[in-house]
Amino acid sequence: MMTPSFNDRIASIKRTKLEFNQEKIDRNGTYDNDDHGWVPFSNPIDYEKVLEEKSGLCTGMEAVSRTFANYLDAHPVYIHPMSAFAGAWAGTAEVGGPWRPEHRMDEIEDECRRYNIQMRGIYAMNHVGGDLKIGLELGWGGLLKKIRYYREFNQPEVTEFYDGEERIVIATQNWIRRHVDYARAQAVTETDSFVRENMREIADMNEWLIENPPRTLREAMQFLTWFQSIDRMYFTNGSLGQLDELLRPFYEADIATGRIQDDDEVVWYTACLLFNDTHYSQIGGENPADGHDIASRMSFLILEGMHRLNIPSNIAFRVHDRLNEELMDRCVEYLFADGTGVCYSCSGGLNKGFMNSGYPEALARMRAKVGCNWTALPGIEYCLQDVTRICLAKPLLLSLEDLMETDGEKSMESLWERYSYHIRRSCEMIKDGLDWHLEYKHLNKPEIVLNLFAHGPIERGVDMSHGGVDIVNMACDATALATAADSFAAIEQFVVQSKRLSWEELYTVLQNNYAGAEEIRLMLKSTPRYGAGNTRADDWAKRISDLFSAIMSEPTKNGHKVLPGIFSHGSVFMHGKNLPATPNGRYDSDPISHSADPDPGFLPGGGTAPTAKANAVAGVTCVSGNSTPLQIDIDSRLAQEMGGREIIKSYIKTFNDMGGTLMNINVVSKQKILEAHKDPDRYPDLVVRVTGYSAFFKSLSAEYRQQVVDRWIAQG
Amino acid sequence: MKGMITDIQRFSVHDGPGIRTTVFLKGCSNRCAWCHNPETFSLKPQLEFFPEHCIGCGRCFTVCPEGVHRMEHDVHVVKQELCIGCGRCADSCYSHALVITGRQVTVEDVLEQIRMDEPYYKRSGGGITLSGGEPVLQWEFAKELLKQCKEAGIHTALQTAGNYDFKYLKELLPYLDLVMYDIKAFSEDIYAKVIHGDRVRILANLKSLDGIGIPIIVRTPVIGSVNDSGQEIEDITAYLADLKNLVHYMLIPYHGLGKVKYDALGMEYQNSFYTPGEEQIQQLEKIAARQVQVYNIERGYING
Repeated sequence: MMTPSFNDRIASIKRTKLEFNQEKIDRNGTYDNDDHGWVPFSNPIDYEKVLEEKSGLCTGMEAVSRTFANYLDAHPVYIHPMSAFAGAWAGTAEVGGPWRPEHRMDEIEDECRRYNIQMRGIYAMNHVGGDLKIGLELGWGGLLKKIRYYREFNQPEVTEFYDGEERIVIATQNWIRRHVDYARAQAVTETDSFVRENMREIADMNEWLIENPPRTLREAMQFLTWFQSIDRMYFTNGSLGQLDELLRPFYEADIATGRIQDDDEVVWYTACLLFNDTHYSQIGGENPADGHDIASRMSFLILEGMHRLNIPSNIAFRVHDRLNEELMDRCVEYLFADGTGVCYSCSGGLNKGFMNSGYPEALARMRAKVGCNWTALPGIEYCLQDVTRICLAKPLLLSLEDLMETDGEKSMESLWERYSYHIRRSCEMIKDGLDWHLEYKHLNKPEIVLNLFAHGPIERGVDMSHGGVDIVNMACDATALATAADSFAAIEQFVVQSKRLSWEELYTVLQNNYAGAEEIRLMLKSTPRYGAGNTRADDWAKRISDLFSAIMSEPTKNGHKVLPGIFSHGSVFMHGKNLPATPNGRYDSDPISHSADPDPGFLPGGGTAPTAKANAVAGVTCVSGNSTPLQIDIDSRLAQEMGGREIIKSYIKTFNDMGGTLMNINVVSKQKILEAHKDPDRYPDLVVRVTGYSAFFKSLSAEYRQQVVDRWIAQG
Repeated sequence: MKGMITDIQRFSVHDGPGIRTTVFLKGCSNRCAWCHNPETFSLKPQLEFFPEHCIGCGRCFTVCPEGVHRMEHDVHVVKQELCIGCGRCADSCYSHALVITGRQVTVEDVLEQIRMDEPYYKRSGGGITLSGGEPVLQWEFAKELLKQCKEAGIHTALQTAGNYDFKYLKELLPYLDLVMYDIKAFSEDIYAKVIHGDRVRILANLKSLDGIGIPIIVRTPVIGSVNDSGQEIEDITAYLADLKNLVHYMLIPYHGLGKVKYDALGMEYQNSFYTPGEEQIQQLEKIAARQVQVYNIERGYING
């Protein structure tokens, strides 16, 4: 049989990906998150879960590491015959679950529910960026030696930390070894000459990697797939950092030695890497010392692999003043061709914000986009991004309730005073939880994988959440900004200024979820909205954002920093389900607004405009270093027109100029998105960027698909 | 200085270079039968009625001083001919079933909207475009607006169909960077049937404009059954061939998206036009390319 071309190989793994996606939907129904590349193996993994004797729970380094090692030992092997790499993961090990009873902080759960706080951060895992350079330099064998060296050097009274870390590395090596055996066996029995040779190469490569650091680009990427797989299996983390710079030395060495003679081979590697996982990581960016752009040939090849495979992936392109024009041009070209592609992480707002939070510019430049909405300093920062949110709308309803219960003056300022109180209370609950988290997390669910890829934990014998790394920046995102801002503006216009409604009438219609009051609901909804520009709702949005940002930026009681952002993830339905009717005309349980985006149809007359939307989001961005993303959907007609690419590039750059932090873009026709919503099977390979992550449109629930469709309909 | 506009469209990417803000001025002296912006014909505010949005609250009945709103056989009927455009019913209609198209604005009102997107103009080479309707009918307002934009360093463009005394356009020219000039037809017969404009004046004004030295883009909306013959396009482009400041010529296929607006305004929609196919457009472009530079929005310059 002829050797398949690199494009044939990529097409083959794409077919498999689509089959896997269908299998996942058939087995588990639709799913609204990034699938991270997990593979639907036939049988559940049968492994022993180790519990602590005292608590009866899977807590503490020993129980958690033993359980995870058991999981790895039982995990099946996987090698796609057309892939350059071995390995895939089936799902997360059951090492999660509750903390020890004495370390739980459950007494404020009722109050959190009252404030519609559904993600407190406490008890959460990962959401930190590792520095993969550590692993690429040491390899698994080197990591093992490092653990053993520091256990000996530090001579801790209790060796549990080092023992657990060692257990995980050994389990990983064993898992790799089983892939080597499998690949060797395949190489013997396989009849196809290409597959036979590929299996032999994979076996040789991984035999080396069990003990040694990677020498070639292919080995380096194989190392990354192992890391990613075990990190995903341990609580679903997965951040590769500045991917092009991690791989550039290997690529350049391979080119210099003649090992790689065809860049298409690298494109194949890259596609295989993205078949393994969506890989949150960044290409392009700034040199820490002087800010010059660090894009290289490797950046282009990563992008090329992403484009040719065209399945969900999570690579970010870093926008900054000295960006690589050619790379950006290629990013937008592929965005137009594929309908989605990289997201655009913007130094304009991120660097300024991180410096505003007290860090030097060099560190701001290093903080890479490595998560859904978030950035992190790879390997030196514990930041717990994207798992902590407060609701900006529920405190408004509580404030209204307060006003109704008192005989005092009812005014916008008295409402704001109560609102400020409730926002502060929301923030306090979050911060107390984060303090608690930092105090006890390591005793319950240590970061056993990321500790290996951070600067400090192994050297100190301390979990990264408990002093293992030098920089601790906790994070909290606010949700429902537009819902709150439009509500404030509606109250101001119709209750305070025109007095079309009394406070009591407003309160009553909200209590009754607008039953029998459709005209009042529409009247409130007609208030000039946040996003239109120079409206009162715009003013309220800014005021609310500033309030949240100021309070959340105050240190916790234990003195930790918390960096605020505004981000709902795609969870606008989840957060809306517990939110009663709001004064912006929204019904009880309807979704909240998305991140800091204005609600669809925010312009007078019901339309929208990308410039207006970008102005709005840039205007309310928390200047902290964390993200306040903008979600944009562009009509594919623009992609077909001359100059369309230049227009989008200008648009992204302007957002960066204005202090934007992150832009997620889809390009698709309204007709296609409507057809795909009606009949998802018709477009099995349609990929959309839901928010900071991308997904097959087909794999999303009807609710999530509706969210994307609503944005399109509003565009008119 | 006040003007009557129907809309301000932000992130406008089809009305000149870069990212633009397009201001649609009300009032038109051509009122072509196929126009998809019939709300711009009249210089006065007009009431649009979208019955599918009506929730039957009845508020419009009580606020209208002219008895425009009536119930006939349990159906909300709008007597457009009685409407004075006061907007009271639309102001009270929160379901947006009733909308007033056309609002009087000051130059400062418009500038406030324009300034919001100024950073995008700078990055993209965009700016503002006055469209309509026929913006030159409100030349005093247009002039002041363009003047202030120029003073602010904002690129300015005008979309015009040329049916007016040239002296009005001349007032605007010192403040314009680009003129997009519509020649909708060349033959006298078409003007007589479906265009209200004065053919001779429209054609002469284009030549006068060319004498000034401002870059000109000439556009022809290609309307199936009206001006979609090779001869028509050949005649138009023959007329354009000696223009000194013609940047390029464009053919824009007709689309029938205006029907909903005609219905809302209570106007009769002439449904006798069709959209020319891509192949036909390409053939016409080839004919045009014999005499002038032709630009297609998707394929760029087709002359090579």
